[in-house]
Amino acid sequence: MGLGGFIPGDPAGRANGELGFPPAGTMGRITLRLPMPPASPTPYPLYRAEIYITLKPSVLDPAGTAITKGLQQQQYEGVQQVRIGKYIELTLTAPDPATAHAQVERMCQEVLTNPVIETYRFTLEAGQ
Amino acid sequence: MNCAIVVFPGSNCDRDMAWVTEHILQQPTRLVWHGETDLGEADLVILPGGFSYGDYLRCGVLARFSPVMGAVVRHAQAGKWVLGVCNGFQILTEAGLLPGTLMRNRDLRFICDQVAVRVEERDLPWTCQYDVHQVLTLPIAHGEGCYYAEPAVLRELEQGRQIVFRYHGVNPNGSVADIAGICNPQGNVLGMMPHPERASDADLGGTDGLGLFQGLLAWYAENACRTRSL
Repeated sequence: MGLGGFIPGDPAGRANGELGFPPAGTMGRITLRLPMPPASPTPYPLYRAEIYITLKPSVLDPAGTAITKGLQQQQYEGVQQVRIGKYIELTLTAPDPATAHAQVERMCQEVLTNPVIETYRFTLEAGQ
Repeated sequence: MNCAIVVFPGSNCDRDMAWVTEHILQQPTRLVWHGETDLGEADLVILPGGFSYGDYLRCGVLARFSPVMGAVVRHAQAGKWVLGVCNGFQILTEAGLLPGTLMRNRDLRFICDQVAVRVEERDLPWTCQYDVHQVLTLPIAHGEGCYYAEPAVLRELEQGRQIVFRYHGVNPNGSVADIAGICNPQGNVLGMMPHPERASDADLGGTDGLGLFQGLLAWYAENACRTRSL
């Protein structure tokens, strides 16, 4: 859940509002200027959370069991178990990483998961 | 007995309920939009079946945040009656008014059927018109009706005599301990997957569910909203 994964600007330059790629068969490089999103009204920085929700190991997953059998029937005999979960991406603004982390934690506990049957984990990084 | 039936976006059994409370029982009935925050002088609050908020994220979870739910929780905490049927049961568990949760049916299919349901407790306003272990035929219509709770919670339910209805003979959805309906320890909040309101009018093929509503009415006449003395 650290913030170490944040890279300011990915190799394609998307963070700078540019999407550059060489067209096939040419040596040239075309750069498209994409409009930047309007500035956020809040002074707080943006964070991006990736949340993985899974059923607790003690809870049966009938859909996962059905898929396990389906895969095994497709000659993937090595498949031992399939468990289906949910994946949620969300962005939020917060004064600092600790606050963002605490808010995502609370959202997971209070809304996004049902603690009776589900567990969760998430990563949080500074977003754009 | 004043009846308030909460209508969430996506509720679809609200009018079936109103037909029973208003036309069959002849009781004052109000449909309450989920954005309201006042249940008035309601004695019985009903969370009807349907697909509130499209069942997004989890069945019932978003309905829990509707403005009306604060009043529903206060109504329950005051010991007054709350009935949740089908999606209403799911909302009650998500709101923490009943323990456990309702998961995908064991066989992953939406089930629309008539099932045998056995009455387990009869010292409750909900079941006082039935005999103990009377078997009712009630409709079910759900994709997520498989009741689940941790073993410790199940023990509490058994010891507190909170399991009000069980499936009889065939367990249609894989519910643990064949649970079809449970109440809170005080007995004033009931959640059930079968639809008693769809089995309350002889013209619609069955009246086994009517006893639940008639029981409430009889109990109300005698004891007002008071439920179990624990």
